[in-house]
Amino acid sequence: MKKILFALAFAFFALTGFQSFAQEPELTPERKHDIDSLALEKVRDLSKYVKIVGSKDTPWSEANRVIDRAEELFAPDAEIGVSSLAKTKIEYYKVRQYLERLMRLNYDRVEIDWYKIQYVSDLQRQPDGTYVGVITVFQTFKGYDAEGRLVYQDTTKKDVTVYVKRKEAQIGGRLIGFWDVMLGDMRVKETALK
Amino acid sequence: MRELEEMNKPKTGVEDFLLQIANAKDVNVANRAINEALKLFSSADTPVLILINNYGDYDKPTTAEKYLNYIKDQKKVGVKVNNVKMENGKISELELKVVK
Repeated sequence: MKKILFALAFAFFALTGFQSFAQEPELTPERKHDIDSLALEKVRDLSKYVKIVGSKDTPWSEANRVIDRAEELFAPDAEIGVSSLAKTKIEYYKVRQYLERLMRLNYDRVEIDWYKIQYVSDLQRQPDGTYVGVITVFQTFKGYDAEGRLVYQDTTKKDVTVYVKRKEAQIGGRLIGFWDVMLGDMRVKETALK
Repeated sequence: MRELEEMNKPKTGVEDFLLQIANAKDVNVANRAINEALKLFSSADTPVLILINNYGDYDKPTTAEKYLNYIKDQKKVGVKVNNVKMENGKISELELKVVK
């Protein structure tokens, strides 16, 4: 009888308890808030990288180093949308392509600023434990010629999908759990003069 | 007392360099500070861990060189040194904590 009860209890935990231990438990509100902030900070980091790469004052070696760092923020096949007031079609480029193109733009001076970086769709837990959300960004772009004249400007609204997943890494002979933030596609939503 | 001061030296040394790098007036000054800061570490690839809260949640691990360059790019320091592991007088692992 005892053996049967033990076997039943074991089977019960094998089907329910062990399974729940294998998955990351739901986050407390405080931890969720910290993960939200972490993901938002990655988009803010990206805004700085875009500014550095776009600036004609940035040395070539620094721009290339920053392109490497910016690319690491994204999922492997992520794309970034580019719009123009002169065209109706939005072009999508792979992240490295986008940044290298940005670096080569034919202006004497470029000013790129991102603002109102905020969630439009909060990070939500998916069945596989990944958190997915959408962050919106407003970007102003200004291009100047050699005489210092403003020759092009626009304001674009872009949405970027954000994925946050729990991962592990071997550091100093021990396993460290960490939150891996990956940016997905950055899609253009609106483009206007100002 | 002196032992405590010796133990805290790497910690304050790193924090001082982070501020120097973030406040550098240009890329060349920042790069010089980065090269000096890297002398505190076993290597440029010394692991850097970043705690984002008091619940043991970490950001993605990085390396000393990458993190110092990150501070240069972002021009701000939002962390404090939480723990330092030493080996042969050099930092073999650095743990930072986000300051809220």
